[in-house]
Amino acid sequence: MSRLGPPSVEVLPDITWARVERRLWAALDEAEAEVAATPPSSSTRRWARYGVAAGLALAAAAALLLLWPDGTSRSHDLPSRVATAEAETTLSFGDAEITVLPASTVVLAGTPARGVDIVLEQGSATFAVAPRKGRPPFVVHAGVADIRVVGTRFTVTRSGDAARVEVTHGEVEVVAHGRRELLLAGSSWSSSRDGATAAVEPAVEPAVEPAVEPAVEPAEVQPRPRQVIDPKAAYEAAASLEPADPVAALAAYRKIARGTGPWAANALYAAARLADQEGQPALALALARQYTKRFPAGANVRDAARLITRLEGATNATPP
Amino acid sequence: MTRAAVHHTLYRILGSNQDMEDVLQETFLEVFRSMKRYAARSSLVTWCCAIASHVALGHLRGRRRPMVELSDDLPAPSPDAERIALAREAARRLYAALDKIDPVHRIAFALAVVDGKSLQEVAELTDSSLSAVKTRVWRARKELDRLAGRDPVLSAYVAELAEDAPAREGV
Repeated sequence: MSRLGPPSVEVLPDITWARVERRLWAALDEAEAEVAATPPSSSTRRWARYGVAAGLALAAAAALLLLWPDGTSRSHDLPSRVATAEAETTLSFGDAEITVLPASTVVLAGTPARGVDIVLEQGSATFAVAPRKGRPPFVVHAGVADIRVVGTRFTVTRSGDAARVEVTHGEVEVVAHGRRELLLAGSSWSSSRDGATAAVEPAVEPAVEPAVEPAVEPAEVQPRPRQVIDPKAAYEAAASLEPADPVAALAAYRKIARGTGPWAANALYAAARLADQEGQPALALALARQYTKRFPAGANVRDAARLITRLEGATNATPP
Repeated sequence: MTRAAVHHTLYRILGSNQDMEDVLQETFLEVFRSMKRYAARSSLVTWCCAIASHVALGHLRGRRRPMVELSDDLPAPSPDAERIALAREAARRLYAALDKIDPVHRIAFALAVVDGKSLQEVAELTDSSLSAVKTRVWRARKELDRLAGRDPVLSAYVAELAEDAPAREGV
């Protein structure tokens, strides 16, 4: 018999790693929730609780380092994890402005001097990043997709392993399943619900001026002609996406909901409803609460209240 | 690359990706739980792989799967694919036999002989003494020789791996 050598190690697919990563975050989130739910009955316990919380934060940081494909090279840059509840938050990270939308979580790692890696654990975030010409890389990881920034403003939405990228200005490069796609302003990329396949929607000519200005514009981002969006048309487009691509529809609703007026209200409720349908109760609850707070006289306020009651009941009924 | 090293270690011990997702998940959770105990005596990668070995041991001990029976049937020879098919079949028989021996011995054998790690490295990964590792590898080899008694493919494969392994002085 000729020499056979040791058996070869079968590579684990990216999608499996993404699942492992997601399950880990979920387990860490669960542990955090357990810590948060513990009533502080004495100062000793309170400090113990803070200790456990700090441990979990460290664990989250470690998770990023260990699961990172090139984690060892960045092991000295401890990442930060940012989770939003019902309100969005905007962060400055080096030459980037990051708006983390409600019920979303991102982990920021690296340094602006050496390069930035961001993991979108769940939800949506909008990034405004200076052009990378000669600057260190800026990469966003969301499910199956790695989004390498060329210099741009863009939004990433993640639902499980599925991801969607929409480019407002400039361009980004999306890498998923070993394939690279360069996205220009106005185009979008989305993977299927299980993250296994992906499709690019090319840029279309803008039609109307946007209702809402983006929150932050870094100085280095070049001004571009603004996209024009009719909120009603945008809402209808989002609604038509629902059956085939709920992740894209959810992202579109949330984008419209950032504006004002009746279509923003409709879109916010639709996003809450769709998140609930898609098995994302935490997101659905946050969006429904946001709806009742922002639009107390809105047409869907009763439906939103019913959704909140049901989701809160489900949360309370969940065994520890 | 920590995650790749952890996967490699687990693959060598388990022999396939069949239960890999669960074992990886458990390994990383265990890493996080033990993070505060990491004293940097070994590299982070080695420390994570040691935890992976420990988790794999628990997995093998708790596993209740029907064992794959050894068969005397050889794969049908085909000029181009014969060597690959033979290697695959030999690996399948090897792990089927490893399923039947003590998981502690199996892990020592898989790391030292199949993966080619030094006995010292295996001792570090399994938190054992050098002599304990030597004994385990030797016992695994004896067990495999017994199981491979009438299986020339497995017998030759085990002999080849043992001959190539840097730790062969104790095997």
